[in-house]
Amino acid sequence: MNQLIEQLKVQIIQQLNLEDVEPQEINEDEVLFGGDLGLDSIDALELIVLLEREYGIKIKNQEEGKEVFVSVRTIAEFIDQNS
Amino acid sequence: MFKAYINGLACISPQNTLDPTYFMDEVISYQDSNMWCIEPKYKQYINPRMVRRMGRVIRMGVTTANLAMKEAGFEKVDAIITGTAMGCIEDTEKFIKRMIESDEGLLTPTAFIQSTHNTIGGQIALAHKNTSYNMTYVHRGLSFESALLDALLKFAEGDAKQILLGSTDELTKNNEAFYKELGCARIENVSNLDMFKVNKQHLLETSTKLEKGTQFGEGAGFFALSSERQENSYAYFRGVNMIYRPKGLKHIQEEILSFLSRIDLSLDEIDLVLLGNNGDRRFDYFYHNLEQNLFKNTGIAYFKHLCGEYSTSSCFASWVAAKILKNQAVPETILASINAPKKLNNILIYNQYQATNHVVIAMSK
Repeated sequence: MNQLIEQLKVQIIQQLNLEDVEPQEINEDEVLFGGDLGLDSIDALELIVLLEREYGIKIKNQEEGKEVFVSVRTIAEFIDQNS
Repeated sequence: MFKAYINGLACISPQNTLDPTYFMDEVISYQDSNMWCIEPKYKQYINPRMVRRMGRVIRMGVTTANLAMKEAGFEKVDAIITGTAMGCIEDTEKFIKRMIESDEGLLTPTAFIQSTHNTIGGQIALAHKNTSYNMTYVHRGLSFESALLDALLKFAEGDAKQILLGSTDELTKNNEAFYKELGCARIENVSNLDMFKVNKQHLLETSTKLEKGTQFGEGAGFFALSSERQENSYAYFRGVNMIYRPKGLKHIQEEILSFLSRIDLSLDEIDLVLLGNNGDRRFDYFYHNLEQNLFKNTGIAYFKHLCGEYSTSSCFASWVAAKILKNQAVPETILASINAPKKLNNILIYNQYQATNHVVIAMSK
């Protein structure tokens, strides 16, 4: 799980073009939306594409997305359960 | 005759033009076939949260727009008018590449948002919370000129008092390859300083050492314009004339004379002509013809060895002209004629792109 979390941090930085953010600066339990990273709805779409492209997992609906994209850890757990 | 006063300007180019004290006293040499912009650290000019979703050309455009507004002391403008030939070409390339790789699936929204031509004007509007008239002109070598004409007409019709006008275009590695393949860019190593020397030599000694192909460049520039003169005004745009596919050299001369007549200027009143020679023998005869005929008694300066060839380079030339009129001097690095003009009240810019789009811009003190 820890390895997946670290990999996800790197992929998120790359996908969302989070300049000047290092993987170790992202707390895996911190909320992604509404937190210090300043992510918005376009970033949510980027994360959906990331999950589908890198892990072959589709988010079925908006409600599921809300639960999955809470933090890096919740995304990692979702990948772990569905891959 | 139009009057659009320049109260603030900023330019990002292959030279140190973002430094407000820079007056072309030094020209950076580029040995490659491309001249890339000297870019600043954008986070000092743009909100860091916005910057990550901006491609390179958007960053250049927003930065120069912000700086021009700041210098002019404008808090709001009545119109944002942008000219760009290639738009956000780097992001367009990224988007198309992803489209091919994913077989038209799994496309990310950011690359698409950044790939449209009017993103630059849109991002400037967002940064300044501006909901006024916002127009982007995409007409190859006449993009900046079309935007300028729109600004001049807006002032003339009383539709606006303050306008933000500018243009942006960027180079990419793919562009570089295409230009070389098409024979537009020089393949062998050349220097932009040689381009200036050869052209100057041509003017003085009618040298014929011109080659096929040129050095391509890129740049962004914005002007904060007002309908009335302010204490800090640099100069004013007096008019613009666009010629699409002229019938010949005579036609160009006739168009220039007719344009001068329309804006109440005589040939004798032109103190300096800024020409866009790019060292390519296929196109430089347009400039040489004017130097040796229509402008044989006028001061001559070149600008393209500073910025390289690109579709909206007239915007860079306008930055040069405004700086000259403000400083009342012509830098040695761009002066082609033997003597500097004794007075500097009126400057004419003549530029052409690929022999198709020809333009004349008049600027006065």
